Amino acid sequence: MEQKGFKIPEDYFSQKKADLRSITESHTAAQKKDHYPWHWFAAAAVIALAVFLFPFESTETDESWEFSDLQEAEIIEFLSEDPHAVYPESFVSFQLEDSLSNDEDLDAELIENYLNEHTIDYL
Amino acid sequence: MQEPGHWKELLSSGKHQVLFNALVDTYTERLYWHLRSMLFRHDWADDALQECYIKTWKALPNFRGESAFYTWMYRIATNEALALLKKEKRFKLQEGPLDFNLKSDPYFEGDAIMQELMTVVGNLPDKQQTVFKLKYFQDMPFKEMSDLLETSVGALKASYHHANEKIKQSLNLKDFKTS
Repeated sequence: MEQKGFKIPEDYFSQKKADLRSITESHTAAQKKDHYPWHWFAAAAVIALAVFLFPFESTETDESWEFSDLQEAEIIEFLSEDPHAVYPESFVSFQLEDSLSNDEDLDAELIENYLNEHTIDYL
Repeated sequence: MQEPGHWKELLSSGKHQVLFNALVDTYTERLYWHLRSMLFRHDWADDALQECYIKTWKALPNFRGESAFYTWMYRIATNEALALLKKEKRFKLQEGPLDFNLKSDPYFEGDAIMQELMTVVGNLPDKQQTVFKLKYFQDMPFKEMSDLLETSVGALKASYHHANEKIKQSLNLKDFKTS
């Protein structure tokens, strides 16, 4: 490049080299990084420990379950908590009884007239 | 150039200062001229050289030695030069084009033709500029350039061809030879 007109100050390189060597005093070199990523090993160890100490509960149902396995006390307790869930007709009958509570008030003549008027709809 | 085998031993044994001084003694001239060919101006090349060695010193303990020290430092220097050019480009509108900067450099004594050439080269797109400079001033083989710039040989040849065409057109030349 010097032939192409690019010059340098006199004694440039010897002075520059002295400057460059002093970099080691004014700048600290980076700390050498570990080749082994210890933080990843530590994280993996913590997860393994957690899995070992707190095993996950299975959410799957036990296929081998039988009705006879239930204790009598458990059945009584369940029925006393929610009787309508087991005997829905008791709930339905309650509603029906409630809605028809005044059927005795119906007049026999009114019923007969009603039937005479509307029977034709079903014939 | 074959690097001394004991440099890697110095690196692995943590004798970074001894190794760094050896790198300074061996490569300062070559790296300077590499930077000068990319930046043209002496003061820019000087700044970039300083920065290149600071980065080398800071990164030396983590250098794995997968490539030669020189290749590694050459790459640091190239990146430094490209970053500096990019930074200077931002001020171009305020400070004037590159020829103004080159004329103001007391360490440039090129003739008018050389100045004109440098101005045209300085106005090429970044990639074409870099490829042209590496070829024109250092006669660097495309394969070596490919390793340095992490670009395919084909792409580099294409960039060089475009750069050549633009320079010929700008300087009204029929043919332009880099060697």
